[in-house]
Amino acid sequence: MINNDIAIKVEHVSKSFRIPQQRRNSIRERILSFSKKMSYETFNALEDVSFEIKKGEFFSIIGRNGSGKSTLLKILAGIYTPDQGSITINGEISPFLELGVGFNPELSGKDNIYLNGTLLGLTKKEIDKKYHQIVEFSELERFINLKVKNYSSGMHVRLAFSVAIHANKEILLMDEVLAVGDANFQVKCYQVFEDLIKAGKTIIFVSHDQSSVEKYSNRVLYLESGKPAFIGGPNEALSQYLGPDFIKE
Amino acid sequence: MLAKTDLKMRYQGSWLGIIWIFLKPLSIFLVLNFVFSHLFFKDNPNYSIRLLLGLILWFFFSETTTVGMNSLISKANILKKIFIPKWIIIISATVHSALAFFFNLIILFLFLFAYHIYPDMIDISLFLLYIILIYGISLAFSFFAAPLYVRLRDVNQIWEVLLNVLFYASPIIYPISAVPPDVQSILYVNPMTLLIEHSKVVLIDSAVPRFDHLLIFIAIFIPIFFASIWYLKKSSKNLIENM
Repeated sequence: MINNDIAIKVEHVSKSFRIPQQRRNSIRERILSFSKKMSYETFNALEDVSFEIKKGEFFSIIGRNGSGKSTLLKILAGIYTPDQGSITINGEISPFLELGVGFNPELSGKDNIYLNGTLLGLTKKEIDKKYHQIVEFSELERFINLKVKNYSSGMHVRLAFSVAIHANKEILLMDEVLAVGDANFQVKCYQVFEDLIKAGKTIIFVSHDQSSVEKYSNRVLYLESGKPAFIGGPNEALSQYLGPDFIKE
Repeated sequence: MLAKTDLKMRYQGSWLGIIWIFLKPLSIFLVLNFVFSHLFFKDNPNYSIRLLLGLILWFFFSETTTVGMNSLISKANILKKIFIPKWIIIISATVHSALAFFFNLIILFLFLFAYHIYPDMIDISLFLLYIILIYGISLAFSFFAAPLYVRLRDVNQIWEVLLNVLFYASPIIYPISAVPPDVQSILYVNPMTLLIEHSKVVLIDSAVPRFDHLLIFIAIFIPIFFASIWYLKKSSKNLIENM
């Protein structure tokens, strides 16, 4: 049973990857090395992770590189299946694991808005409705019919961010997706971000940006090599993560 | 949407655009027609139109199975970032070949009329059933092969060879009556044999094909189709991790 004000419930989730010593992903290789035993090295990306996220909560996940943050997000997004444990999700998820997924450099900015928007779970009608907002936010009115391969990288991320931010559902998964572009645009990004929080969206945020984690989070999960080392307020979590020398500014 | 992008990608920038769809089967048709209708099947009046029909159906099958098999791998960059049901990716990849097939059908019917062959409604509806079955077996194959291809990266090469074998094992360049009866029954192991042969019978001869054969075919096809859906579902788990 899931309580109605719980957005995500993760129970005892474990995930491990098998790293074969020798890759054998073709029939030819399988036949040739039939007699030899497969040797694997198992890498435990996540071990017995449990937590609950309430609706409207801003939940951050921190930890060092390779501690399983992104694996956890991918499991939440349904891309990976956990080896053990279960996940209950109450509401629709927008996965922003990366900006501009499916962007096609050969297509125009306009086509890419539709493509990316669809991938992020919008219907064509919804995109039609939001199209002008998206273009306006990205400040790319003049270039919207240009092929994306001719965009500068700044324009590229602005467009991607604009689509992402307009494709928001009840639960947002963000992997280092926060502020992009020039200083001016970044201010706008933070603005929308705060609006999203005010609008009561549940946000799961993976970042190395300590100040954002500290500023926005209600709760923080600190992962240490796949195991949850700490769940609680942002200050304690950050001081655990960064060591006792962490001093609050 | 994915299919639309694929189409745009494929043909944008080339003014020949749609023409490419026709060009491939048509050019092969011309070559084969030249070789075989002059050398071997001189006394077969409708040889060319039979060849064209067989080729068009064959291309539909080979293109659909090939893109279907490659679909998951070629969309790996998206699948690794966003959850999309695998069957959507596979089906959207096959839309293009279905469209190309549709255009080729127009050519086929122009040829039919040029040969003064006017199939009636029953012929056409039976032909439609065969088309649906071809699409069905192509999809079933893709549901098996696409996840398999993620794990075993030489499946595509095996299929390429098999396609070549199956091409000659289908009554495309020769009429099935040209082979001895005991070889015929071996040829019927190839699903395309029955579908192509029956299509020829209904569309060109306007005759009634063997319904018992068709029923057996459908009786085998349906469980295989459901098995492929089940397999795709089962193998979708842990699929992305292997990409």
